[in-house]
Amino acid sequence: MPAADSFICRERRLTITLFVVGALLALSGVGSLMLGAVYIQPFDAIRGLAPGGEDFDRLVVWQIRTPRFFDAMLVGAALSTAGALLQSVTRNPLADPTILGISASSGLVIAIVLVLSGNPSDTQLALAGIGGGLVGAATILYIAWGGVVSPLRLTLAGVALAAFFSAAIVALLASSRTFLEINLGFLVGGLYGSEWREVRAIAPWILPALVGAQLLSGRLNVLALGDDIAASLGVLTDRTRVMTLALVGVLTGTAVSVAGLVSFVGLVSPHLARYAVGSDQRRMLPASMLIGALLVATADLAARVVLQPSELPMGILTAAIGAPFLLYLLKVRI
Amino acid sequence: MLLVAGAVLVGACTSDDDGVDATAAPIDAPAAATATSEATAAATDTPAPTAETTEVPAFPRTVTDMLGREVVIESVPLKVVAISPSAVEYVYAVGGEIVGRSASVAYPAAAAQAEDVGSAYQPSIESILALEPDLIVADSVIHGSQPQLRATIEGLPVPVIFAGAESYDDVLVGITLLGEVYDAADVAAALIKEIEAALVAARAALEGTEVSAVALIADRDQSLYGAKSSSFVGGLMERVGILNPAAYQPDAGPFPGYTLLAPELLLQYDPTLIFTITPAPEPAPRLNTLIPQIPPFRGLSAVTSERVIELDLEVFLQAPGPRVLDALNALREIVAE
Repeated sequence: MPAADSFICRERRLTITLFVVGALLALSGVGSLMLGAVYIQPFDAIRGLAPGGEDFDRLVVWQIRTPRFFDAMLVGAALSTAGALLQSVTRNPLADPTILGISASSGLVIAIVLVLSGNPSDTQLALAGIGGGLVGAATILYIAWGGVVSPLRLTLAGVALAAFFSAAIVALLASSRTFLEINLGFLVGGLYGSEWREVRAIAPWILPALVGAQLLSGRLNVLALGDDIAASLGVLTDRTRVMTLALVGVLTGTAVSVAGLVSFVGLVSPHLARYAVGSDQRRMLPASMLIGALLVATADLAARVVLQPSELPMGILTAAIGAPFLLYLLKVRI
Repeated sequence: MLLVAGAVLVGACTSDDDGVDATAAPIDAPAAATATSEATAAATDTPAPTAETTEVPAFPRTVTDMLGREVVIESVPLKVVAISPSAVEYVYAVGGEIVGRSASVAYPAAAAQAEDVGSAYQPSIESILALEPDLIVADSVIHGSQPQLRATIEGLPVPVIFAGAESYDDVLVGITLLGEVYDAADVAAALIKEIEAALVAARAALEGTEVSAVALIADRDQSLYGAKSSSFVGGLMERVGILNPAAYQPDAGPFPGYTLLAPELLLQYDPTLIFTITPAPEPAPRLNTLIPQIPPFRGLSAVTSERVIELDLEVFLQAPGPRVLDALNALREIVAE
């Protein structure tokens, strides 16, 4: 890169990226309000956003589609940020909460709570997910301590963890009299039945965690130089790693508690963000967050529309985008 | 409203006449229901209120649904969305019609014409609302067991009743409930009488013989599950008097009311009859053709006497409800042989 690729130029790339992704996200939002099993005219969709009234447009737009869009954005932002933090802290381009088994360990604790309690509240589910996410993140931390594990070894360890936890989830749900149809949405990931209740339960966890990730971004930049250099620059490497993985656990756990095991969002978004704005965490994290929100919101819109009035689990669509992307990374980048 | 009530009485008489002899050819409940709605239409054209109509309590009336909820029904519902196969069949059994249904509903034929509102397990709430129903009939089994979905459905600005069936008794309760909702208590009572007569006939056909049977379903790995008495089909077998060695096995496997049946156990039971139910759609082979091909099962009495019988998937498994009449008649014919 020429020297002219200055700080200002990179700042401009961030602005442009945020603007473009933000505009696409707004477009996806408008689409999410208008499209679905029933088509709602743009004007009626806007009217549905205005408070008052219990008519059809208001019910569908405000009680069904708006909370679902917010859920999708929160889940996307959480998973993509979790993926970006993981890729950074493990120095592993293949890191992702699903691939490393953190989603599955969240899912396992959620499944245990579901089976034991029958009808847990959204907050209880979010807490269960966070608990499971922290366990999964701690396991990865243990395996990858010091950041010297090769990417493929860490990935394979994650695959083993994910397979183990997923098998435990299936075993638990299969032996528990809950209907198989319900489980599919959880195992593949989907947002059917999102309500404001859920948004209110997860936002208080996800939003502060997203801010926390931004605050850590400077230290993560230093950590990327290697432990010795980071230590010599005054960064407490171990503490940074622990805090980062704790954030990963919180973000992944809350996302899984509403959307189930949505895969690949945390893998794809950070790579796209890095491509757009470079690898400086301070710019990469916000871009990745917005790209993740766009990805999940759009995948969820498609999931609702393609089979209407039935719907696909949204996770199928993120996997359809993410799996080829992983193959591309394995072939070209690793 | 009184006119409709009067018409319903006419309809009730029709089905009653047909159903006096329960051992005669099975009466198609929906056929009776169709007759009822035709009669309804006819009677509405020619106003002729009779004395009896005054005895029917007027709307609005409060009914108690199968989840124990009290629901106020303002008038005979005209635009009904029913979101499970059982719910749809209850509506038609008492002469009602629907404007929306869950995706897999294929019976009765008229119901299949109604608008699809998504799968029973994940109904599209917006599709339901778009039909502007005056009543939603949800499933007390399917939706009653999903607390969040149940809360969502209950929160809609439309009256909702929950009706489903896990057992023979549930079916009678469901028919009675819909009879109240549709102001068709007589149609409901006549249908119940018919069902009870079919049960008596099936029991009579078994008199003096000892028939044992297991009812099997298989998952995609071809693991066999036997119906316990707590399943719909298992409960019917018990009512009819068929001995079911799997009836009180402990719970095992993912299907409520069914227990994972090790092949050894089936050999040990060696029942007179083996019923099979195959959830996989055609052209997947029916389970009753597969059982005799499994080497250890070739010596089973039911296999050597060719009494491995495929039961109707909808009637016995997927849409437990008013067609329990068909189920009982089918069991009667099988054991009568």
